[in-house]
Amino acid sequence: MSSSNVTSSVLHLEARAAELNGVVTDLMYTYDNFEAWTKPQKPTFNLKFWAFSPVIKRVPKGVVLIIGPFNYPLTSTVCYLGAAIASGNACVVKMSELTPNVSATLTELLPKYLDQDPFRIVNGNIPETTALLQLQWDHIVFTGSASVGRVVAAAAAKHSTPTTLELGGQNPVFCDPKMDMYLTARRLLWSKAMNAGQTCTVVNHIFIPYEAQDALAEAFVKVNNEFYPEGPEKATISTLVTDVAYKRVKGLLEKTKGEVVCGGQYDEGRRFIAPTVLKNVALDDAVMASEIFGPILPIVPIKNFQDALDWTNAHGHPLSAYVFTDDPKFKEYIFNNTQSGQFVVNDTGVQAVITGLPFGGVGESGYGTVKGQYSFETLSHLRATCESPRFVDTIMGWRFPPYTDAKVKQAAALKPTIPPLNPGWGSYLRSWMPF
Amino acid sequence: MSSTNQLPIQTASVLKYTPVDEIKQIREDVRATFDSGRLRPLQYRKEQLLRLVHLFEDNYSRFEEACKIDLGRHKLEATAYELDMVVTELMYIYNNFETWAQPQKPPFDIKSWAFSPLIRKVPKGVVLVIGPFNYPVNSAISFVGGAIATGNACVLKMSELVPHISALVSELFPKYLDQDLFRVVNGAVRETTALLDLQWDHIVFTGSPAVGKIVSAAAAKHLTPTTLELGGKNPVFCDPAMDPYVTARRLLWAKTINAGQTCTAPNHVFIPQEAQEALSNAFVKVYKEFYPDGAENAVITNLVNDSAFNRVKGLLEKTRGEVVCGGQFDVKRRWIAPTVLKNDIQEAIDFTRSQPHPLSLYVFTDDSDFEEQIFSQTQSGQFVRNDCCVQASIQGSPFGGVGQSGHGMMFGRWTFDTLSHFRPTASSPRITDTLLGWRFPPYTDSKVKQAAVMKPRVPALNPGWGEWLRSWTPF
Repeated sequence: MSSSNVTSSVLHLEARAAELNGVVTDLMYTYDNFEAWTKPQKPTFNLKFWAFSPVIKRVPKGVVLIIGPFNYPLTSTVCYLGAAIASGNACVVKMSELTPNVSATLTELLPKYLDQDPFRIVNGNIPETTALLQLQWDHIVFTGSASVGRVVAAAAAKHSTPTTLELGGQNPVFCDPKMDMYLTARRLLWSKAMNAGQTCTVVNHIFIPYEAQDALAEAFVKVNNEFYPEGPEKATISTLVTDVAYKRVKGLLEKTKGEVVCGGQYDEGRRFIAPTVLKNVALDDAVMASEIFGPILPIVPIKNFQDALDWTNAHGHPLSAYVFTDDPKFKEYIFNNTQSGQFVVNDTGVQAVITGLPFGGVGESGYGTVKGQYSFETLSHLRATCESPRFVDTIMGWRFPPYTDAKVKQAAALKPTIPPLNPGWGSYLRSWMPF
Repeated sequence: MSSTNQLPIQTASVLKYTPVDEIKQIREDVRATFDSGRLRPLQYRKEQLLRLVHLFEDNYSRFEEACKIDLGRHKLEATAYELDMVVTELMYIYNNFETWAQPQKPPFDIKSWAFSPLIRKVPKGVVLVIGPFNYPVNSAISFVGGAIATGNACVLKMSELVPHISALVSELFPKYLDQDLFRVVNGAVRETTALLDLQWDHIVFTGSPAVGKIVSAAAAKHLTPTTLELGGKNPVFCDPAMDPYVTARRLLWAKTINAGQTCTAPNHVFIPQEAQEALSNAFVKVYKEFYPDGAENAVITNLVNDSAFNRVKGLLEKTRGEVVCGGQFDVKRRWIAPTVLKNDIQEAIDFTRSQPHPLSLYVFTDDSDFEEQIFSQTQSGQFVRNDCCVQASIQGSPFGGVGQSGHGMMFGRWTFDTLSHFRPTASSPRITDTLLGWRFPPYTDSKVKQAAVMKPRVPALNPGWGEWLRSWTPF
């Protein structure tokens, strides 16, 4: 499968760079910063309420349930476990049964490192997950498909449990014909090849005007040869997670009416499908029916970008929207005419590793934000506190019955000044005065 | 006005229900206008917000009249706890939302600076606001203001239990606001069900936990995020050393405004046995101060409808507690239910913990240790010392529940952030492929090493002296 001079560490580049290092980085970031995040917060000073000493205290919600996916089985569970710990919540993690070795390893190690009284792992399939979802939780973080997301949300609704749904979508790339095709192809093929395209932020398909399609296709051929000088079958490359997934993606390759630009090799025995670029894919092609979640990259040629935008807006907001361009107006045009969890220019996936950016979807791609301090905030309850000093009854004595005209007037003193709807000169001048 | 006011006649002629078959079209229309981008410019949102403020400002006396008919409210309660509050909140949003709408840069990080990361606040689409009967304007239209400020279209479902107020809002909306973006839907269960069958981009619901679950279940079908502002049995923990007069005065006020139909109203009071007498006497004194001519002769808010009246009257009949003061009823009544739990405040805490988390939790004490004991052993939406209900007016403080009292934080900037989608953007410069070239196949040992450079230093679990010294160095 791999050539003789590849060491075992190479087999692990994706595991480390895309998963393990990311988990450690996120946990260390939380470790280094959470004490600051837990500090009580004072709202901006306001003379009207200063006397009430308002303070916002971040407290835990209780017990958090995390349901993890198969594609990044550690990133999308352990990072949230870290946030649960930091925010003071107990936590139950349901690992994916589709990655049995990863899940079993974590299940074996967690009790050796963490307090088993507040932090536990549950493993299983549908019956076990159903049993979990019937119980009351104080927050559920779910990463997975939109259809299972609906099941989780419905179960949570029975207990009024707040949820965070990290789903996916058919993340589009809008490619400016003037863009550097080599750079575009390189970054996009990398995105699709990583984890065999099983990434929530992966590029799903590329929209490009007809006249530029061939240039992009040629660039893909070149990049494909650079990535896999001996051919993708001989490279150390990620594969589909299960036989079911393999058959589904292979089926797409068979049904598509697009033409293969590069790739197309497969090996059922090890669930391998080479990163495959297709061109001349129509909007109603089999590969465009739903999120591919596999190593097929369709190029969809279009007459104008409005067609691409209309299609995108009719198919559920994706988790990520990508633009490859150097033109700020084009960037803004796509930004303003789409809705997506994130929006990235000239690359893919990087948004998930930039510190300080929230990560989450909108519409069909989910809701709620995670990552770093956002996970901490999500799993915290903001318990607002204040206290009323004695003298409040002197200055706010109007609140106590019996109600009199004088009290009505005193109450009205708190009302703010309201600018007129159609201000004239006098109003304009007056708006400069403090009374 | 005397207690012989008649019950308002709730007929269909006062409040016209929206035909069920029009509801879907209303949502499509406002969604289409949202898609056209009309609400993107901040200036347009600002105009609409100011028009919404004037909707109230120009019609105060009509609203006061509607409040009197639907809820029997005195002008002071109608203004101070409803109209002034919504106008204050809308003006606060009006004056600040342009700042809140500005893109936000995450804290500087050398590793990602080159990607120009930015968090842009964008609208979600169409927000559905379902309002309650108890503060039908304040607890609904402040969220409409939030929707406008965040650039969302909005459909508002007003409560049918307050027909005059809802009819007034329905009449005035088209005169002040852009009807292609902001609409009112009226009705009862049928119309609300029709609304909940549709897809929304966010639902803000204020009401009971039971209906909250129905809203959540409907939202789940469309993966719609929700904000649930529910209620709970808000307990009061009373330190026996506390001044009973101050306590009784503030508690009776909180319980009597809006006839106790306030999500943050104190539900019951825990006090050690030995101090109950002093507190009861204080209540009697305060009661006389509030209603020198007797409560029947004061202008006092009603229960909202017959079924609410019968429910509360039923409680008065079934209780085994002794009436301290009040107890009169006609169509109006107010009462307070002190509950005594032995001598032990811990028992009160344990009882509270066995109940669903309330929206608000109150402590009357001057003792910080007593306060901390209650705070650390309970969970609640908010926590207030020595008063009730005031927390909802404090600008800059988030308002929301936990557990059965709801989820999602609202008011002011919190409403803005809740109804916005935080859409992060990043842009990858050309040099990325040089610095991060290790990411491209073919994978080699040296690329694995380069990738590992991104990993942070991990401190030892059981650091010795050497480790401690080393932690002061940057490598």
